[in-house]
Amino acid sequence: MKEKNISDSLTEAIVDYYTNNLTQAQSEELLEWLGENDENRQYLFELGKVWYASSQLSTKEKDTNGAWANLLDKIKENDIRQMPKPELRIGLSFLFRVAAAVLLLAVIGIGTIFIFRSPKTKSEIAYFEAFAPKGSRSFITLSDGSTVWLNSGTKLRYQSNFGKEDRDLFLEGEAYFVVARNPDMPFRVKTSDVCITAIGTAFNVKAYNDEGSIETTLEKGEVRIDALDDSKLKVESTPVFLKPNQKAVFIKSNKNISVNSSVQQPQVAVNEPAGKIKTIPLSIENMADTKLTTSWKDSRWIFKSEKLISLKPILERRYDISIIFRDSVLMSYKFTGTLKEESLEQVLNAICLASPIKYEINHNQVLFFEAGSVKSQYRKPLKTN
Amino acid sequence: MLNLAEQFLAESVKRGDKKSYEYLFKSYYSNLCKYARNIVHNETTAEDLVMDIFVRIWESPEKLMISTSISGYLYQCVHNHCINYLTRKHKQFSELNAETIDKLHALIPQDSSSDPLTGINIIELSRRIERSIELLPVECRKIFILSRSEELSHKEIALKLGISENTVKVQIYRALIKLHILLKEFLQN
Repeated sequence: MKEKNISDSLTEAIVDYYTNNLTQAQSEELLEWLGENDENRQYLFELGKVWYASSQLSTKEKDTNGAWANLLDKIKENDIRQMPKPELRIGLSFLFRVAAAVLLLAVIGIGTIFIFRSPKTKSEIAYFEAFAPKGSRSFITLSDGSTVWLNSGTKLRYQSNFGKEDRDLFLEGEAYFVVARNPDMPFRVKTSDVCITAIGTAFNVKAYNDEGSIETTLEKGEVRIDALDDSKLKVESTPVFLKPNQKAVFIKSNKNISVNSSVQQPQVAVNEPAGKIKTIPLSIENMADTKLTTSWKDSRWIFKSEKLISLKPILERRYDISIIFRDSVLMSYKFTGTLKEESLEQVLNAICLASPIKYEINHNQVLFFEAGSVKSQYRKPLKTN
Repeated sequence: MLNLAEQFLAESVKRGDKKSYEYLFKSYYSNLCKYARNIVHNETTAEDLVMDIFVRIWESPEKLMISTSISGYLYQCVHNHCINYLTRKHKQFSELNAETIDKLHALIPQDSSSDPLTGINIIELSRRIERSIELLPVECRKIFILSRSEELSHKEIALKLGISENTVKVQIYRALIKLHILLKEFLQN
């Protein structure tokens, strides 16, 4: 490989390509250069070897033991998920036999609840997991009388002694809680990054692992939100308190930012950070109607001028499908409406009725494309003739 | 190609031996995270992606197809997983439009036959890079170390050294070229 004489702007584009920082203009320049010949493509690729390998020079070492513990958890969860159905039934009958601290009340719609007992641990504390698979929602009542609605693709984990010493839950996904009042035992919902504490209240938490934010919406009462440290156990910040009709948004990528200017001071009681204690990077929004956030639990789904791209994950989870946009312009189309127990086809038809969008379903995949783009496809062969 | 120790390790992992699996994880996790972070530029995402690979290995160890070396296999898995992730995410969040991303991916060799890591022992290459850094011009070396060892962004390096971001990028580019020339023999094997 010979050193190439290339312009400074192209040099920068190459480096920005490796660091994933290309702007649209740069990428066009780079594309043009790459398109010139194989040699240029090979050049970028050869330098890439040095670039990728030099990542190993980083002096930041990871906590391998902690990661191993997390991995063990993950493997266990997945093993549980793969358990064949008969074993699940054994799990349930076992649950009733030991008269566990958990009461299963109802399953709404096609929602399913799986409750598991994890393999015996040294301390003999069993974990239960309620799980609403993609494409369904579930409803459970906990032993303390609190009720929880689980949205599609949500896992809720708690210990067998829930309600005896503490009321701690671990949430991955979205759930709506109506908490039975007990001032002596706070009700705590832990997510990947924040912990929400309530005494008696109704609130919604959305904390899907594949989404960049954790949203807490309060309908009634009061909750406090704390940031969790990496061990997911200890709280390491000054708390933020929410009032009814407020929504707190935690952006995961801002995790390490200690101050957040978008917190509206008059509405939120934020204690002055004492010494080195961190303030959580939360932004608070006042909502006219929390129904927009919590409607999913009533099998009714209200949305207001939402972009199609933000409806995508919701639809994907609700109907267990994957959505592909052939024309990226469709992503920013906005929709307002209410849906009630509609089938996937009904929802898609409603979307297409309201806008110049067409769709195709292929197994579990939905392809959206611009209604007009069919025409341009026909035009092509004409031109080449 | 595999040495005896690696052969043994690979075989026990395939059999589902947990101790060997733990050893594999603990030996490679930290370095694989560095590698993934360098591609996706996000600590948590990098960890998750590396985790995915290990979960996959645990779930279907029989699919472990190691032909050249364990490290080669792992780095390649992580590389592909990261690129797939970026392609998916980028289409949603990048300021580049989806068409541009597709074009970039189509032009730059992505398939496994031309993967940047095929046939390269990445750990050995990084050791050689580390030694060769000494041969770079002072300024160039300083910038390359800040970027690669300390993982500072171009902006941070520019601020720290009181130079422009453009200069930082040009120096990094020069470092890559010099290192490539210095390591030519190793890279062509």
